[in-house]
Amino acid sequence: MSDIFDTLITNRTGRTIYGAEDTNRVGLATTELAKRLSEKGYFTTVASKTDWKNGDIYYKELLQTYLDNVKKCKNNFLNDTEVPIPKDVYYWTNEDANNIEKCLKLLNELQNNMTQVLRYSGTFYSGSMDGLRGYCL
Amino acid sequence: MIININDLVPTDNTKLYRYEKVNTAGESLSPPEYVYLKYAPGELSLQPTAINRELLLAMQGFQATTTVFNSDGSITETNSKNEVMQTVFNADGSITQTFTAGAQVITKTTTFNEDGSISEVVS
Repeated sequence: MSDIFDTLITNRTGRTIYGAEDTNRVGLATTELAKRLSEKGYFTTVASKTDWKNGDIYYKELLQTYLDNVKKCKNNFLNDTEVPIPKDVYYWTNEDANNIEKCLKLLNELQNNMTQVLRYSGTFYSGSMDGLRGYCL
Repeated sequence: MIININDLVPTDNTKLYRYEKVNTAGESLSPPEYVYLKYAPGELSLQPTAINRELLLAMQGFQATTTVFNSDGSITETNSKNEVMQTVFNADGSITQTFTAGAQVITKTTTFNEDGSISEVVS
């Protein structure tokens, strides 16, 4: 099954135009990530715009919301230095655009990693180590 | 005041199932040795509950819930998993709370006794 996170673009070089296809993709990924995080107790509410059209005017407020949504997801797991995303909306380089999508991709990987190592009720006892029912290695 | 809960979030997905072999003092071997283990109980008859942030925050009251105060005086609370708590205030002064999660039902009856004590019976 295709996953929105597999479609994120993190390797822009040269002269790249950042358009509706990009902002919609990031909007969809942000919405899906917020849903996955919230389901696991990392409550994240975003209002992502996903119906951008080429030629739309990118008002500052809309772009700030776009960026704030990514930051809301990021604040669950990462600090500012790990994957730097733009602080404001005035001018984005290719690196900034790559970092926004890199950040979403990394957050999805982290929440996947977290899910895979969850312990479940009935699989360990209070005080036991490693959740292996007291097995010794 | 609640206590914040954070889960284990590994950054390297090649080490999720890694355990380190150590000596009897708990010290690393030289060079370090690892084994990779995954709990494999086979087919499960129930969806297990993860011991994680979601659960532990919910236990402290941080859970999305819809509460309806019904015209008959009862209260219906529904959480995000569609599990329902029905609270009925009985004519004899007791309170019956019925929690329904799929086919599983648990009931607690709280009775305020004449001697001032309170009985809570779970069935």
